[in-house]
Amino acid sequence: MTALPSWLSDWRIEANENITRLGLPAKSESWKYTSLPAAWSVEKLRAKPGSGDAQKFRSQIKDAITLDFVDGKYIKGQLPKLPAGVIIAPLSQQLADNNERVRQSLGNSTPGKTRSLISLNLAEFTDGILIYVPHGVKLDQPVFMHSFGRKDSVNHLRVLVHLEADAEATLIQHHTSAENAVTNIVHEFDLGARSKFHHYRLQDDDQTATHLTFTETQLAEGSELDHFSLTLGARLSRHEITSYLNGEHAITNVNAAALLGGTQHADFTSVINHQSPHCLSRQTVKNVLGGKSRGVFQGKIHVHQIAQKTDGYQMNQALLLSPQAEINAKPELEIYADDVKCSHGATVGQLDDNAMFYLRSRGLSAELARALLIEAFLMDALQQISKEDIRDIFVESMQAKQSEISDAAGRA
Amino acid sequence: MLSIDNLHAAVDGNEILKGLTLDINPGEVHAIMGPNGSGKSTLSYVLAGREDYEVTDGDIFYDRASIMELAPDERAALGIFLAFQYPVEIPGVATTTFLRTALNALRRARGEDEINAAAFLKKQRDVANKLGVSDEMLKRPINVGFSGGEKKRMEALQMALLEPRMVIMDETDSGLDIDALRIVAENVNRLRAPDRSFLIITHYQRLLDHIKPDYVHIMADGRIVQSGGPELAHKLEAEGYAAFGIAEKAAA
Repeated sequence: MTALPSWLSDWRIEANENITRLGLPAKSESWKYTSLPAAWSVEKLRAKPGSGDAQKFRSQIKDAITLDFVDGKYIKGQLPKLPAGVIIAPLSQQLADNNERVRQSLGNSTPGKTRSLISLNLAEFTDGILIYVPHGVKLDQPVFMHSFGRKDSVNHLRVLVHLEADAEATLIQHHTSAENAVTNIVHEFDLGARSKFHHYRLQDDDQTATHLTFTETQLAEGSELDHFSLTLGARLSRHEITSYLNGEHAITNVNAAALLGGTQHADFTSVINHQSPHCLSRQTVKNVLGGKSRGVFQGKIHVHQIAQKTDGYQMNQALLLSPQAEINAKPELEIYADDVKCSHGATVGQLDDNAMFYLRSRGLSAELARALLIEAFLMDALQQISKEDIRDIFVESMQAKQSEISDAAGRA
Repeated sequence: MLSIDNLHAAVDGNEILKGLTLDINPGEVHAIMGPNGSGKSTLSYVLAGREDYEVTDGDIFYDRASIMELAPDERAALGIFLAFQYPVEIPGVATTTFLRTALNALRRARGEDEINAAAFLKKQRDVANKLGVSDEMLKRPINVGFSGGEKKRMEALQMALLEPRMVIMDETDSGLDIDALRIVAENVNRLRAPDRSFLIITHYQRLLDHIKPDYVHIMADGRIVQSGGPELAHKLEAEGYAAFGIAEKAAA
C-alpha cells in the first residue's frame, strides 16, 4: 500500500482521538432500539481481511460502469471511456494520486466528531469510490458497485459523490458479504444546483453479517436525491441517512424496504433537515418481518424556521408474518416554521385472511399466495426504482429471500 | 360428482349448518334458495375449504372421495371453484399476473405443463372479450376500484379461464344490474357441459330466469327443507318463503 497523503494521516490521528473519546455507540435516543453486541470493542472493528474464496462478480446491467471490492479493497472493474471531466475511480487510486477532490469531499464530513463509527471509518478506510460529474453532464450509464467481504472480514469503505450544477448520475450498490463479515460504509454526497443523483442500495449480506451504513447528502437549490435501500441480509444492520436541504426547491426521496426473517435486526434511521424554503421530502419505508426478526424505523423531519413552504411526507408500513416478529417505529416532526405541510403515518398489519383465502381458492398454494401478497406489499416501494433493469435485480433478490423465508416457515 | 352428507358446521361456536344433505351429478345445475341467515354463504365457504369454518359432523365427497381434509388450493386443483359474493380486493397484484399464476398453479397441481405467456394472453383475451372485460381492467390490481358489476364479471372471467368442474356461485346476482346479470348468466350457459356441474346459491328467482336449473332446493336454518324442479323457484317467487313455512328475517 502506497503512503497516505499527509493530510489524511493527520485526520486519522484526530479520528482516533475521537474514537477514544466517544467509544462505540451506547444506548441513546438515536440508538434507542439497536445496540452493537456487548462484547464488541473498537479494536475488533479495525479493518481486517477475511478468509475463504472471493465471489465471482458478474455485472447484471448492460454497459454499466462497474467497480468490485473484496474485503474493502478495489480488485477490478469495468471503467469505459467517460465524458470529459468525469471521474469515476477507486478511492485508493485517487488517494495515491493525492487528488485534491478527495480531500475536499471528505472535508465535507463533520459528524465524525460526534459519531464514533464515522470516525472509525475515517481512521480505517483505504478504498471506496469517487464520483465527480462536472457541470451539465448527465451520465447515462449507471455506476455499479459490488462489495464482498470474505468470512470474518471487517470492511470500511467510503463513497464520495460530487455532482456539479445540472449534472446527473446513478449509483447502484450490491452487498453480498460472507459469514460474520462486518461492513461499515460511509457515503458523502454533494449535489450541486439542479443536479440529480439516484442511489439504489441492495444489502444482501450473509445472515450472520453486520452492516453499518451512514449516508449524508448536501443538496443545493433545485437538486434531487433519489434514494432507495433494500435490506435483505445481515444479522444486524443499521442505516443512518441524513439529508440537508440547503437550497430552495431541493427534493429528497428517502425510500427503503426490508424483508427479514430468523433473528435479523434492521434499523433504518433518517433525519431530513429542511433548512431552506420550498423544499420537498418524501419517505416510504416498508418492513416485512418473519421469524423473530425486528425492524426499526426512526424518521425525523426537522423543519428550520427559515424553511417556509416545506412539504414533508413520511410513511412507515410493516407487515408482520409471525407473532414473534417486531417493529419499532418512531416518527418525529420538529417544526419551527409556521407555513409548512408535513405529515407522517405508520401502519402495522398481518397478511389479510380474506386475501389469502381468495388466492388459495383459485389454486395458489399457501406459500405462493403469501409470496404474492408480500411481493405486492413491497412492490409498492420497489416501484420507486424508475429504471426497469435495475429494479429487476432488486426484485429477483427480494423473491429469492422470500422463498428462503417461506421455506423456513414451512419447516417451523 | 359432489355429495354433501349430513353436514354440520359452526363459526365461532355457533352452529350454522345443521345437517345438510345434497347430491349433485355431473352436468347438473342445482339452485339453493333461502332467506338471509339460512346458512347459504357458510355452505359455499365450507365447500371451498375456508379454515375458520369448523365442520362438526358429516362429510363432503367429491368424485366419491372425502375432501374434508383438503386445503382450498387442493380443492381448486380438483376442479372446485367458488364465485364469491364479495370478491376480495388485493392491491399491488395485477389481475393478469394473478390469473396466470392461478392457471399455472392449477396446471402444475394437475400434472400439466405451464401455459406460456403468448398462449395465456390469447386465452385471456378470448374470455375477456366475451365478458366485456377491458385490457385496462386486467392490468389493474385485483378487484381494486371495480364496481360491483365489474367484480362479478371478473369472477365469471376466472370461472371461464380456470375451467373448473364444480362451480359454486354465491349470490352472484346481488348488486348486479340487468345487463351484467345477463352477461354472467350467458357465461354460465356457455360453460354448461356434461362433465361440469353448478351449484347456484341465491336469494331471488331472477338469476334463475336466465340460468335454468335442473333442481331447486329451499334452504332454511342450516338444512334443505324442500327439493324439486324449477317450479319450486316460481312458487317461491309468487308466494314467498312463508309458503314453505319459513319466517323471513325482517332485515332480509
